[in-house]
Amino acid sequence: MADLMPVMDGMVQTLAGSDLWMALAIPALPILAALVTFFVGKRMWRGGAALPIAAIAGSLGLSLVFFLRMLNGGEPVGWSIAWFKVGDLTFTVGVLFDNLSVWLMTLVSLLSLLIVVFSTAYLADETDEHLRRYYAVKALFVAGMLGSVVMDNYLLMFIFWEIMGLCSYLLIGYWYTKASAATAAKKAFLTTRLGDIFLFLGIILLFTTFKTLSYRELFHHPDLAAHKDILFWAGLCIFGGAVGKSAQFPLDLWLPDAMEGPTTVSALIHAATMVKAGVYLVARTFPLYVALGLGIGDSVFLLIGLVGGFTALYTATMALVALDIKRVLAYSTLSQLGYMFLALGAGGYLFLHTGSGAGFTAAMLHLMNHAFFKALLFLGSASVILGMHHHQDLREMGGLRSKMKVTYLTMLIGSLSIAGIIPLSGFWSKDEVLSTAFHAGSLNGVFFVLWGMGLLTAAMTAFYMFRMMFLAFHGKPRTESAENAHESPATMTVPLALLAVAAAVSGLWLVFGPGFSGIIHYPYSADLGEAEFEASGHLLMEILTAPLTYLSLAVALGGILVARSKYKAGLPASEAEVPTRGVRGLLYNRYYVTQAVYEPLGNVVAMGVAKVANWFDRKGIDGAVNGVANVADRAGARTRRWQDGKLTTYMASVAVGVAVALFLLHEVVLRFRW
Amino acid sequence: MGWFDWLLPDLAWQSLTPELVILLFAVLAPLVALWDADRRGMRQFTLIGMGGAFLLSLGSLLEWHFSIPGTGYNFTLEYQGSSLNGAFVVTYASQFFKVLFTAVGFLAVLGVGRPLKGRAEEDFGEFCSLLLFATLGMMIVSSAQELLTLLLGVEMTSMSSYLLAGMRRDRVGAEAGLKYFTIGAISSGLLVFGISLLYGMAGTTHIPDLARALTAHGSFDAISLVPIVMILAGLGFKISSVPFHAWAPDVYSGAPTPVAGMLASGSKAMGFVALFNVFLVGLPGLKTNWQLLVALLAAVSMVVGNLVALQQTNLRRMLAFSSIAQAGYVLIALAVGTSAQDGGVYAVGGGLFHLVVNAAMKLGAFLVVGAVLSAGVGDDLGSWKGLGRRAPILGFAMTLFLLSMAGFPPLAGFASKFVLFSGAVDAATTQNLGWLLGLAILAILNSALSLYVYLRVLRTMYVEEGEEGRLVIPPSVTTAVIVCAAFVLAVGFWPQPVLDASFRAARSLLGL
Amino acid sequence: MIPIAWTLTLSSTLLAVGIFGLLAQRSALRILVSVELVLNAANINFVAFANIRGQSQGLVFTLFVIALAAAEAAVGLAILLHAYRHVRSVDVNKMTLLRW
Repeated sequence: MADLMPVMDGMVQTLAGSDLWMALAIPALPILAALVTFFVGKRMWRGGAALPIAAIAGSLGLSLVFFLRMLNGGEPVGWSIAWFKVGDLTFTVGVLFDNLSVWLMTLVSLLSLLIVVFSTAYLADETDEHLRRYYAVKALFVAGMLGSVVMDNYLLMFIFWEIMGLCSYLLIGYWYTKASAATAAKKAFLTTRLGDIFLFLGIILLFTTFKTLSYRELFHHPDLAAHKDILFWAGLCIFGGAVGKSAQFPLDLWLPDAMEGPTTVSALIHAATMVKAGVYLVARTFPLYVALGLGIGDSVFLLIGLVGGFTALYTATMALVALDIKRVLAYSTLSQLGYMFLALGAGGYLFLHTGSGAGFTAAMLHLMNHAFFKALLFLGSASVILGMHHHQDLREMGGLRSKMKVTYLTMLIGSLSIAGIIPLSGFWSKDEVLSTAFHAGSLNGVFFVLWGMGLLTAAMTAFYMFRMMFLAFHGKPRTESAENAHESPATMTVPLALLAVAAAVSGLWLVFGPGFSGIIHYPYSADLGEAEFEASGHLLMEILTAPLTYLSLAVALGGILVARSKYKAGLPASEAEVPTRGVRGLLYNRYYVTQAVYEPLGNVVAMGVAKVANWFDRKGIDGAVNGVANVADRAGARTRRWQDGKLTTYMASVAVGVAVALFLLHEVVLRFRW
Repeated sequence: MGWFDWLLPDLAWQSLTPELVILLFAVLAPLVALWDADRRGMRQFTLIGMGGAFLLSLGSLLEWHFSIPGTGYNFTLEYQGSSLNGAFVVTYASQFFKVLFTAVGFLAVLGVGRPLKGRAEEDFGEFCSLLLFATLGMMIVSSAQELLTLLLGVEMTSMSSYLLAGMRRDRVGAEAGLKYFTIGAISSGLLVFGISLLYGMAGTTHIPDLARALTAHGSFDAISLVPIVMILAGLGFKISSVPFHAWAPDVYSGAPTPVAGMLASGSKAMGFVALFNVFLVGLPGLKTNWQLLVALLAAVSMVVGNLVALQQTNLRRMLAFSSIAQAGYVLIALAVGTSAQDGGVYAVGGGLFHLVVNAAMKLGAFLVVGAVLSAGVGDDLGSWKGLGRRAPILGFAMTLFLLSMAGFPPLAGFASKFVLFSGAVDAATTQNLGWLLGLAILAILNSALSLYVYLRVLRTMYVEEGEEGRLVIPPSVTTAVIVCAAFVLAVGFWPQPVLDASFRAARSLLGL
Repeated sequence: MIPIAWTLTLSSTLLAVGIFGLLAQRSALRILVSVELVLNAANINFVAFANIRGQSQGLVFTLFVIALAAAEAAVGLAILLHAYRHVRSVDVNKMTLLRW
């Protein structure tokens, strides 16, 4: 068992002087840029891109300063001041720059910068008015992510988290004239809000119990052990928030629909921000789960692993038949996020039992690698879509290889990487994730099953990625727009090339130089400083000699080969139509979850609410309700009938209200003595 | 000290100065209107009255000292005092509310653009006078320690508001006035009947005596339910809680917008002050679980308010329903008040804090709607397309108000909701009250839903394209809106002063 | 002395008649009258309770409520007249311009 009472607080140096200003500027610069761009951005370069780019570049530069210090063995730094007091409770404002946040903020600002630069070309033909809004919101979005990462307490983290949610709503609904975009934005918003409700409740529970929300104070609060019940519920609620934000099962439906936004927005949401915030949150909350200890904590970790492992497989199957290039990538994001949660869950389980922190590191490594290759793939698909004159259906493509050479090559690197082919980045992290699950399997058989699901997912990933590559780039052009496709300008291909390099090599960090696990690790791991964390060369040998490595490699290669045999010649006739029946139809329609679960559920809830509120309704309840998002609409519409403008009705409402209140008070309240 | 002593021997007149100022101006307003031909001076006159009362209330809250040079005359504004055999007391809490009410009144007068349609200019003197009387009623309620004073204050506000709501000289105005009046009359009938029964039970109408008498009474009988429910219904009308809410949307959309803003902020806060006073000071001794009933009202108000707000395409009606939902949130404080360990300070303090914040954002939002209306744009969502570009300041302020109403961080509404809800969760976990936790969860759920309601407006204002051309907004309205917006922003970033004052007021209200 | 139960019965009956009138009548004038009934039911209570307790508080309350009822009638009739001018009817259910 590892030491559950870490000394983290003592290790944190206080930021002061210019360092403090630099630290605060990291989230503040994009916020300022957003405000200025929002109000006066029209007159600036490309509708206001200049300032956000400069600001994000500034954040990146400052992040790099801290990053380099961290690489050189710098201690964590932090700063915090009292914000306001309620009674004897104090809320603080502060930042915490430990390895996790420094590394992640560098990653976020780097990717955001590339994506924003890329979008200056991608959205070049939009009007200035639209662009001004786009860049302002985008800068705020990046600020939201940076803020959630660097803040040192749950309340501040939640504030930035919410800002990010708001911005995502605005960005997904960017093409507001498309009805589907508005619906998707609404869906994304409502679903993530559902997670946020849990998160907010979890934060309130933590606050009312432990009287502090600061990570530093909370994680080694003396009462943690005494309030395990509340900690358990709070931990579950926080995980609920992560599930919503990272679109894990069962709150996974919004992310594929969020594709309605501009592709550059998808890239930002999928690669560096938003969905990664959920993973970060669980990683950040790791000490609280650990504090639950054996018996409770490990079941929570098991739950996290189950949700992750299941989502990974479940969404990968949907990607097998998707026809929209962006949708394939969206499903794959869900699936890869599932890997990260699987690694966190299995890693936490392993940590509680053996003290090994490998799972935590694996999840974070996969987060980084995924950020690079997913940004690459999304921007690549943006380039394809632009080249195809805004067609994104795979059936309309084909033969783009010769016309878009840079895009093809970079996307190929991305696809190989996500498929897990050695030595590209995806290989290293996926291997680590699977090996964590496998090791946890020896403690609890469920993880063996999850490992098997992960392996199957790896095969499917390789298959659907190369299905996409073959359908888009190989064979013969199937439509006129594919025929006339052209390569994108340098503002787009240069970020692609940079990302391709990153996606190829980022995984090597694990095994070369000081090693990834030496920097990003759960701070209290027992094996800290031991062989696995110290000698990355040793780790390399371990990976290369393990049979499991070759199993996952073989599986990935198998997936690619199957895809090659099936799609090399072009689009098979069986896939020319949108599948409606059989297994393919099932997968394409996402297992009919919307139709089978959410809509009836919506019906029941809406009917229930409506019945209560509907004493004065003239008509009967009719019609079905379409999906969760409409529940509220329907119920509201019913309730609204109450308000028929007639005074008699209003007076009856008062009278019935009094009568019902009397009855309730007499029958229920007096008999039940709470 | 002077002839007041002779007239009313126990009248601590110094502590009554804010009320006296308002009374003087209210009585003089119609006379001033006779002189003031173009009604420009009328506004300044009323502003001076409201502003003076505001400063006097604020001064007594902060205990300002004055000495008039050369006379050796010293003068202290303070918040201790009691008049009329304890029927009218001046406490920290009462002065706190008076600051709120006079500020609302001041901003409402400042926010009158040209929304009084028809021959309204002629009525402006009466309008101002009635607004002053309504404010006076609220101030009396905040100082009332006797059910009679409380009733008179409530009725003074109500009757002035009936007339204010029907101020527009057209069919819509008439309808709004009549509906408000009729429902209000029924509610006051119920309230009076409830008080009469309470008097029969306890033999007194003085609120602290009531508490003592009821505690001594010990047992409960079924008849005690009737006054509870009736008083709850009578005051539930003022705070527009479901099912006593039906008038609110119609009246808010038919009344002049500054009046609607006043009703949704000041008048609603007054209803809560009366409720807190009667239920938390007077009735906790009653051995009946009225808390559950209040919790139920809170739950229904939140749900109905937000669900129906989702349906509205008329902004004033949408704000009305959101105001019904806000009433539900604050009712949580009343439900928690007697269950909490600390005697309810946390919960009630949170409730008062939310009332103050709610007043700023609701009033501000109604003033924005009013200004947009008077600039010739409608109040349905469709005509607000692209408004963010046509009136940038108002648009930005509206954004702040709406986000704050939804409890979006880091605005004032987030801080107040956080305190309010965490008070409920705290009481729920420490006292092991499952229903309270359920209520808190429902509130959080609702607050998440409501953000969607308001985002629709933001999208329309900023994302969609509509007519072009800047709107002409009267500077006084812009000033009032900016004050409200600045308050919402400032309290969001630095809630400490208002939070402290709210908690202190809660302690003073609960007599702790 | 009249037993308290009798007076309470009277006041409750008056309240019930008033509330019935509020719910059943569509004429704003009759609604106004019904409100007066409710208020007077409360007055009877106050007087009766003051009487058995031998206090004056209830009587003072009654005086104020009577004044209140008078003021309410004045305000109500003014609003009603205003409405009648525009709607040409005192049927409250015809005033449904504001709804939903």
